[in-house]
Amino acid sequence: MDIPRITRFYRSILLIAVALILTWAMSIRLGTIPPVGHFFNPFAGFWQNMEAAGVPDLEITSEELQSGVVVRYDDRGVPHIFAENDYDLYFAQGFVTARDRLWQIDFQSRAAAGRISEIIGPQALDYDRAQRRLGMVYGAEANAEAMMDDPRTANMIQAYADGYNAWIDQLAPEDYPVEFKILDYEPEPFTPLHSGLLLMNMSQTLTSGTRAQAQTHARALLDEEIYRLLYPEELPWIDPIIPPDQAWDFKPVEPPSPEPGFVPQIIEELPLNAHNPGIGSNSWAVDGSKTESGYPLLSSDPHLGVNLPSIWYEVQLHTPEVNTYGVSLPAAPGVVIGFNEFYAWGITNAGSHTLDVYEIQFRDETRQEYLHDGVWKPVVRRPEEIRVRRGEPVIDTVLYTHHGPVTQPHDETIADDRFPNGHAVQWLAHQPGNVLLSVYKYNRGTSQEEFEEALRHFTNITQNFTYADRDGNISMGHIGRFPVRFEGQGAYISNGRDPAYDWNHFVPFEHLPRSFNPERGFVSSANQAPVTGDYPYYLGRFYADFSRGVRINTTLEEADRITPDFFENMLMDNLSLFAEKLLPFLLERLDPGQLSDAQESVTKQLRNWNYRFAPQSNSALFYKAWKERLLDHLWDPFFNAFNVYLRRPTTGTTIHLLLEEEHEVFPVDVNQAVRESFGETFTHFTQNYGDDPGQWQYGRHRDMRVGHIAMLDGFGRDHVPAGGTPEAINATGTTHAPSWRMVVELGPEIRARGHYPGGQSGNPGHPGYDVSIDDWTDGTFYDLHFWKSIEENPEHTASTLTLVPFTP
Amino acid sequence: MTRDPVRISSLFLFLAVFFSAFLLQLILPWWIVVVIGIAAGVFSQKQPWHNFLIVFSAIGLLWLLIASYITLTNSAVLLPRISGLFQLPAVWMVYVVTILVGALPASIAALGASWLKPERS
Repeated sequence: MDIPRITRFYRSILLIAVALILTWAMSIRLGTIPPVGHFFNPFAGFWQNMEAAGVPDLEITSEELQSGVVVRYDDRGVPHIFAENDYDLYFAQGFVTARDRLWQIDFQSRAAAGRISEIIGPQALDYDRAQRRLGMVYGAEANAEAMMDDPRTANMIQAYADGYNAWIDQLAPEDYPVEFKILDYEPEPFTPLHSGLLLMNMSQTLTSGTRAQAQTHARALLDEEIYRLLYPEELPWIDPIIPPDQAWDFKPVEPPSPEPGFVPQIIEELPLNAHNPGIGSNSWAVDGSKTESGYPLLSSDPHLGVNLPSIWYEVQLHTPEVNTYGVSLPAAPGVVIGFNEFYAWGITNAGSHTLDVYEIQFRDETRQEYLHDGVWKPVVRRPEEIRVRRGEPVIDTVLYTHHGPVTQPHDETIADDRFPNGHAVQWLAHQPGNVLLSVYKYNRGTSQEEFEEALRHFTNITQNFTYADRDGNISMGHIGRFPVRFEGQGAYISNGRDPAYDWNHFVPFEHLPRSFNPERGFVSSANQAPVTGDYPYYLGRFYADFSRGVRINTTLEEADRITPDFFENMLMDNLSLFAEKLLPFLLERLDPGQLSDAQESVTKQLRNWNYRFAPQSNSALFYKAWKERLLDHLWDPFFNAFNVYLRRPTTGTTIHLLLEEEHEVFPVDVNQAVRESFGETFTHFTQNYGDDPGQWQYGRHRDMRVGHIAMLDGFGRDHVPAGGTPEAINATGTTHAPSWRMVVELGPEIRARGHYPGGQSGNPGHPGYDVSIDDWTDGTFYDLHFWKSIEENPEHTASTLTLVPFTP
Repeated sequence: MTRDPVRISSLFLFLAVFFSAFLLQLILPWWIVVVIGIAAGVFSQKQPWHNFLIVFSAIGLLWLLIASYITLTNSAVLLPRISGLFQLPAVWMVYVVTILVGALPASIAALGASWLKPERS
């Protein structure tokens, strides 16, 4: 079997070449496939990210530390940081947060800044460009600068950054979180801009939604009376946040009057930032007159996109000057929602207008100047460099007016078609502000006066603050820097030429909607309208429907001798007031003669349903699908007739129209729509969930999920069998849900319980990554260990991290 | 054809590949196993396919043992996630892929390198 030597040689070279090409191919990222050689290598790849339960003990020396820090991790992996001074405290917070959430902070910061293309390639360019157009980096820079201007917050951020970077510095590439290995990139050091980007990220989630474009179009295209029915100035059945009997004894700042006759142009593109109705929250507090113990109680449950790693990170911060516990946002020092030794606070989104869209008139096609107050003013150009993986960097130049960035047209290639107009946004988040100083102050306040003083700095991310303290006080405030507006300003596209539409004045802090120790013994907010019509300022128009707010208020009104358990049950309350109103109306309109036996048994169950979206309920599943189909039947023919962007009325408004017999607004016969949608839903159910209605289960079939923030397959949790609905206090939708639930009792000893759907560890290879999802789903709360000293409850210390100052 | 100056046993070759890969991988990236494969093919006087099998089994076993050790001393919650990410039909396939990723390029390189030398009679 002699093979000629020359053949042998070529075969040899060929095979070695195959091996080398294979090696090369396995060392680079191909499409979405990570470099498999590196990735599967057990010495450095994903295998190195597998961890055992718990947090290992660790001792780290750093020359930046001043006195040294001890961090006690409790049995749930919550770090309790005991430091001697602010710098060491926030250094340790940056260190422990990076230890658990390094990749999350890195990725979310890049996402906020419009830098995803540099990780995944040109398919993210549209996303990145939209972020730059919205001025995310511009706003982050302004906020970072403001935070670095104050010595307290500058120290906080620098310490947090130093701690975060100290964690990165002692990592070898094989220690990087697994997502870095999957996406094949490296962590970058933390800078003050990262804290600015986090604020912008939260602002984008909470305050960037605008309906100005949809409302402008609707007002232009619809008959005036129809418009009023579909988009009433006050939503039906609303019980406002501030009790309606509140008196307003101050002289309001007068808004300017706009020039009459402005008719905004229709915009053909979709808005960059349409309102997301899934974002919302509840928070309430009762005073001692309503509780069994005689001590105030407070709860807070912010509803946000629930993802893994979790948006929240639990932490206790302790120095001789401060002792606070609660949830922090990775990338921000301090505790955002929580309590200290004197009081507790909760937060819900305010929902008043803080982003206005302006129609801009450019002087000529070069778009170097725009008209404002009768004068041609210069446009400022800000070039944005977007780096692209395996590609040339893209430069996108964003135009800025004094209002803010020109977001539309979103693409320069269509700018000529739109001439002479463009659209700019003015957004509170772009203005320099120091929300972090507010956090710094309310973490360490010792009285209601100090808490109030802290809120003055909470300017840019407008929120409702619930408060309760050990002295027995409760309060509610609609907090932030709200422009003084004329009626309706900001609800529609604003006139960029008219200075009356500028934000010339802001509502003074003393004039904000507030309620202190109200007669009724409780305060609450659920994103509904903050006030009734007699409040002298116009703040906005598009708040949440009545359902959650009314349910909370009636429950609290009726209850007395309230306990923390009662609050926990309230947080898990699945009752939908929408269903309670709508379902009897729907059932009445079915024609019993037309129903099959199987359909009859479904309607019988629906009639006996208690309107609770419990996981095992089949009626909840059926009602929800029926209602959604009905809304499509009612509104699709109406809105499909227009080829520009409009939005449906809120569900509450639609139910009101149905119940009030305003049926002429619908282009279809309501009874027929009810019957058809019922039949279609029934067919869909039998085809998808089987013939036996007993097998249809809300929790099993609703498809609630806690997804991974980079949407990696297998890294989230699908089919979470949760109860709840956005219409109930337990506002668990498909992807948005209560992201943290907390109940605090303000007695001589503060007692608190809480949970969130995720875990402290952000590592998908750690069993703690999603460990709390099941307890969150079925309403099991954890005791929060709030220690007054480093020695208290040593039996709950699972492990220790020691940060030692370096002494040569 | 002269007789080779050194005849090494299969076991010796296996152990040499296994331990050199173990030690060098502590400091070098994964592709060092391919370099080791080439070296094994050049220095070993065994039949080319024999070298292929020895290198494949040495690297494959090394990666399997390390991966198994990590799994036994830690939580295995990551494995179904990796399996899901790569759409593998079963979680145990993560081990198969791991073995193939390390062993295949190294052993192909060893086979090619073996054929560089003149054939023995």
